[in-house]
Amino acid sequence: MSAMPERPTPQQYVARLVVEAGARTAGHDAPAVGAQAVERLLALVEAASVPGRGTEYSAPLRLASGLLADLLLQRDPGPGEHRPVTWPRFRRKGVLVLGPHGAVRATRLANGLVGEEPPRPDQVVVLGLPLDEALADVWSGHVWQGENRTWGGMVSSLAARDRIPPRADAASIAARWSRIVGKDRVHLVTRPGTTPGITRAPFRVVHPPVTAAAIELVRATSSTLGILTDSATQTRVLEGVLRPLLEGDAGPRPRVQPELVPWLERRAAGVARRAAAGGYALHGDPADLAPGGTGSVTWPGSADAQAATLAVAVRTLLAICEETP
Amino acid sequence: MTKGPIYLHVGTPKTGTSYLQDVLFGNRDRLASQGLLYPADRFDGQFLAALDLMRLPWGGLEKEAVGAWDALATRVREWDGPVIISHEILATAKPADVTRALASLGHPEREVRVLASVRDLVRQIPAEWQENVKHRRGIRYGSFLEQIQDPERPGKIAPWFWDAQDVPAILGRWAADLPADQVTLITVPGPGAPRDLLWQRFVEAFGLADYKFELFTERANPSMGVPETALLRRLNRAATKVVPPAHYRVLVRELLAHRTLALRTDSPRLGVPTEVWAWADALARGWIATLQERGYGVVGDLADLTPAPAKTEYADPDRPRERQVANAAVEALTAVLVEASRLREVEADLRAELAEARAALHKAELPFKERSKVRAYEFASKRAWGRRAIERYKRSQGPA
Repeated sequence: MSAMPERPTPQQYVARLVVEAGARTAGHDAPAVGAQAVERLLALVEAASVPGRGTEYSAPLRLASGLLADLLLQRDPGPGEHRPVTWPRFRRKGVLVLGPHGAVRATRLANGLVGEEPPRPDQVVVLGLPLDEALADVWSGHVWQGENRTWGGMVSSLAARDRIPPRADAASIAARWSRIVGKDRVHLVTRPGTTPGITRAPFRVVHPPVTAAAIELVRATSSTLGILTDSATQTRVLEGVLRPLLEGDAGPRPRVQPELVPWLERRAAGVARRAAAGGYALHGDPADLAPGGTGSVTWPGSADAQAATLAVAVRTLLAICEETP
Repeated sequence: MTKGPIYLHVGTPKTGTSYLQDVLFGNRDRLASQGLLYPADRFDGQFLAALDLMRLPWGGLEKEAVGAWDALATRVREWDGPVIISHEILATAKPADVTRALASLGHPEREVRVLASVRDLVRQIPAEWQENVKHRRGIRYGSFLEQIQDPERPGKIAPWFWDAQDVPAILGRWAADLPADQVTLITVPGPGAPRDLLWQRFVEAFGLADYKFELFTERANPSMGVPETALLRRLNRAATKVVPPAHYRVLVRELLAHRTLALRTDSPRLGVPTEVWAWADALARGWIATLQERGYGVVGDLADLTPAPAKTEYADPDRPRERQVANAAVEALTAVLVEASRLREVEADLRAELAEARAALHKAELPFKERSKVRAYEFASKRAWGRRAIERYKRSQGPA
């Protein structure tokens, strides 16, 4: 009887991916990675342990994300000095942007809105996204803040409780702020791009895509970081070190499980109906808030999706090793 | 001067470890004054250290474990007398974790003795399934048995089960660099043995005979019967998605499982079907041969690892008697209603306190002019003409 082929160890599995990624980037379609960076990473992979618990198939990703957590911590810039108080901090009025984390962040950046949010806003801009994209953005926001929440788990739990996260419910946000500042100062914007009539210069709304594999990697890395360091350092390292490395990483988006789509559509219709009847300025069409179905990854943490996450992990690790002197 | 040995108790789960740890923690000051260190400032201090060592996320608890292993190791290195470190979760440590742990404790300069308390698989298997059910899982017992018998070890459950229960493998990892005479197995006596026999074995293995301490325990990890575990599994399938983990711990694991369902001791106990018994028996005999060959010390008898013949008929928790499940469900519902009533009373008290505090704040903070304004606003906002006046006033004042 012939012997069963031995299953590669997590170290061997990740090392093979590193070698393959190093060879691929030697071509013209990706930034080249030096042989030294590959060698450095291979040495680290060989000595790395597999943190946490899980299935056999998850071991390579746990190894890679554990290693990434170690390297990120080494690059932690520290808490830094207290920044001097700048003018925008005292600014009491201005534009307040509300909605899912990622869209708010990108939209504020696109419009040069820096510093603290105004406590007494002139204008309130509420970003309405298709509900499935809004949920993906909220999931991404929670993960970047250090929460260990799976996409599938979050959506299942929301559907079971028949709730949507407050940040994804644009109509509720707009209604609440209408009561605070008056309907004439609230704008619900349902489409990305430039929107006139909000500020003097056309207001730019950005809906950044959420890449399932990249956010899953953040979740896995954050899970290990959580046990290596305190919450403040964890958030600082994720935001300050990991986010720039993953910015621009494109790939398939998360998708709501097919059996939950009727629930999603019902909730989205509710948001659209309330948005249409809100009485505040509506830029775009309430129908834009219906699920767009742009995602394709139902369970970013599953065995099927593991290869994509590992690929992002290896790319990120190589980028760090390339930058390390 | 030669420092005392470090007794490193690395498992396995469900072998009386909670009782041992509770006694050691409760007597830690008294033992320290006699020269024996049990390094922990809270009852789960060594659990946190183990999580830190193995980088093991544990439902958010790991945030409290940052740096816990290094802190524990520092205390151990500074102590001259004997030390006891005990947590069953250490059984799952990987070779790299073991190397780090032993080096941080001062090995090989400092003597480290590895101990493992072990129990026969026929009692461990249902106990592990029940632990899974008490941790939100909805897996059927039949599927659990299939998964743990599968040599491929599929899913999440089987790798964890064998990491924590495969005695030769656990000691293979922990004792790879230790001579056999520094490794001790403590066997859990079979069913029907005197109640304090296991404790006597712990005393012998850890060299506790010369120390004075009180035997008491505040924590327990009681077991449920067949209908109770079946009920909890069904509850998990229905409620896990809607009850957040933090509430689940308090309401389901503590209130329902430990404080309600585990008190029902007349129901059939969990066991294993005949074919699983035979498989576990064969496996145990292989383990005994391996362990004997390695020459580890044994407190008790390695024969305790072979399962005792079943005395009662096997009760399948996947097909429980529905009347028994219904009775358990009534008790569970009653417990939940009692707790809900208590929480409603707490809520009413808090609301009353909040109203009082608000009234006091209102009275203290607002001068007469402001109070008059508020009253006028409240009066006007309830009338159409008043609301129109408020709108006009707001527009005249400009942005909010």
